[in-house]
Amino acid sequence: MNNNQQPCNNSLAEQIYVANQHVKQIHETQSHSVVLFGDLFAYIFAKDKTNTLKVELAIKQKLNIRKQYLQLLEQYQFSISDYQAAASSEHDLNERFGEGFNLKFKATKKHVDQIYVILMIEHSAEHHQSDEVILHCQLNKQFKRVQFPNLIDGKSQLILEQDSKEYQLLSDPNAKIFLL
Amino acid sequence: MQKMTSVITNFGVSDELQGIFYSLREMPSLNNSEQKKFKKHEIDSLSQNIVCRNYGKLCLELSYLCFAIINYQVPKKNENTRRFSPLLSYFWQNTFLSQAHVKNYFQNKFNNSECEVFITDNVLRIGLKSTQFDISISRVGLLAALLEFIVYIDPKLINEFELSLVAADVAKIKEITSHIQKKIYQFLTLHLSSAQEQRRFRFMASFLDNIATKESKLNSTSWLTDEYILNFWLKASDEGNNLGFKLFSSCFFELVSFHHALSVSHSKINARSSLSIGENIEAGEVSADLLEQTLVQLQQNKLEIDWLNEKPKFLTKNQTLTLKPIIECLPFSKKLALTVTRVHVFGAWQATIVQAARKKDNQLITQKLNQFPKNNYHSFYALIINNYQQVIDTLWALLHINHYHQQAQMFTLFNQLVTDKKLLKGLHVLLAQHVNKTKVNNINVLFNEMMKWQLKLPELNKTFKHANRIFNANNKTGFNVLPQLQELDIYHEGQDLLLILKQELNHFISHLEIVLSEQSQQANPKDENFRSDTSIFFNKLNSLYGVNDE
Repeated sequence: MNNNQQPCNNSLAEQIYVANQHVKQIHETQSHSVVLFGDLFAYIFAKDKTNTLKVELAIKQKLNIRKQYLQLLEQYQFSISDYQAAASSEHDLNERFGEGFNLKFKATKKHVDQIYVILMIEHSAEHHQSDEVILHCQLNKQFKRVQFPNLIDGKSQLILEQDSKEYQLLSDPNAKIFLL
Repeated sequence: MQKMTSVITNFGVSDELQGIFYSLREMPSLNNSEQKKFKKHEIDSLSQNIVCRNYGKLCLELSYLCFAIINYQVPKKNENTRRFSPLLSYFWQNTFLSQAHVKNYFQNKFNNSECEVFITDNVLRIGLKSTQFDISISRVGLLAALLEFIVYIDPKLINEFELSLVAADVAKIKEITSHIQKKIYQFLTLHLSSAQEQRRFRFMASFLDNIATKESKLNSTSWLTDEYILNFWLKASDEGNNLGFKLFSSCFFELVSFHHALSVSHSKINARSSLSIGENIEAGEVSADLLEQTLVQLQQNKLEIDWLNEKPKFLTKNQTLTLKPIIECLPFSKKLALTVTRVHVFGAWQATIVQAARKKDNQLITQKLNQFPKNNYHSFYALIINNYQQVIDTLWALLHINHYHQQAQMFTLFNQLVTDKKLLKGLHVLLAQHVNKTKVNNINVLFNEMMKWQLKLPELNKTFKHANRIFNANNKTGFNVLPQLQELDIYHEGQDLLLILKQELNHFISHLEIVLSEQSQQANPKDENFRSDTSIFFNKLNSLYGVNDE
């Protein structure tokens, strides 16, 4: 259109200008929404303390992140407790079974709204004894991560509030539980 | 068709690409949630590589690094690492990114019939049948960031590496490198567009061509003046242009960027003899390497002041915002003092009109248009003087902190802040005597001596008391209580930057004083230049945003 004959020494100047503008745009952003693999990994294996909400939101809202999350769970699961077909779906479970592990739910005598959750693993891996034991629960588009203290004598336990999302998912017969 | 392309290519860097870099910057370290996984300079470097599209060598290095990690098999004592595949274990479960970690991981030399991997000097050396490839261990962090970037683009890449890099040969490694490069290239075609920036550059270049003679454009800063910038805005701001020149402040920042680009590339052309053979810039060939080098040079000269309003809070956010235009156009901010003032006064006016225009409220637009700025050039001058005083006060607070913790940095501040020549001379004499007497290089001893000098030189005592008072009056984060000794690094860094700012502001203020006094000499009454500027701005803003009652 106008002025096609740029002096050639503008070529470097032009590219510098463009590159500099791009770097500025990158520097100035405050956008929180991208979840990188590292964020997802740290969330799954409970190594993060700060990004939890951001990752959980992305898993909920973005299909590709959810897929990646589920793929990693399946790849690194130690065991799984699938839909509890035999149980009646009306009551909460007292016990649920997975391959090589189970979860028992006991109401506390003193505080009715708090439930003891006892995890037992038959042939545990070494990391279950040295680190926290991590479970991920899934029901449709709901996900929750639950962390148990490390196993002692094959057992570990936790207290959960009855109205907490974690308890509701763990005790829902239709939910799927991944044990890492 | 043209309209469609201009809509698609209106961004430079997509939101997603911006988000990737933000997440990279913010990714917490596994071991310490206060720290980040990657160092700032690593992400800066990666962003420069990406925008200059200079990632070929980086991809090759990453391929070799992954090769080394996957094939390095030394009987491990730690069972834990077997749970994850080599790459996951190295980059995500353990994050062995620091030089110490890298050296420790590869400490034993590994070799088999196909390859050898070992550390020598500060280099990870990978030897394959006929070749040897070295990776500086200081680059592992940057390569890990690149890996995070490409895994975001294609999560399957981790598995692909793990499979194809086992016992790979040079050809395979090169194949994988090309594969990564292609993925990045494809991603960037969607997320990094130069069209809009190119259009802006060419517009500014042809505007300059039409006005300046060839010599003045190439040689100096002489074409970028207050008048040029105002003229540019008056002509370029008309609608339909859509290049982002409607705002007066944008014109200022864009022309400054344009000027920086021209002058740094011009100096590269002049220094052509020192460049590698094969660069023929005048013929329009620009290698990605050269582009990145020049960009780095451009960025090195920039002052970054945003972190001064974090913890500790050396300056408030408003103060750094006010200083931004001055910092942007260094080293010639003194020349553009009038424009910087206009950006502050009239730029703010335009911003209120733009806000009203966005609401599509005609009455509000007309109201804002007719609300002439209450602040004139002199009030901006007063604001800058105030900012300058804040810088000085923060430096006094730092002097107190350094004095309390017996830091050598106190003396630099002393020289910069104290104006009493007699006191300075007296202190120098005492220091010289002390150094001669003790011959001991112990700063704590010196500071203890200084307590006695406070009695000899009452002015010295007053100075320290003054610093203490200023410190106590400062309630900003990081200054409301005395920091601990181990926290002082960032205070020293802040001090260095503030001293530079003090100097630059000083220059700027004296030039602004000249501009404003010239104006009041020429004009009668004093304010006339400001008033005529106001009417120029009003007329243009009215033509841009004014709503006519039909």
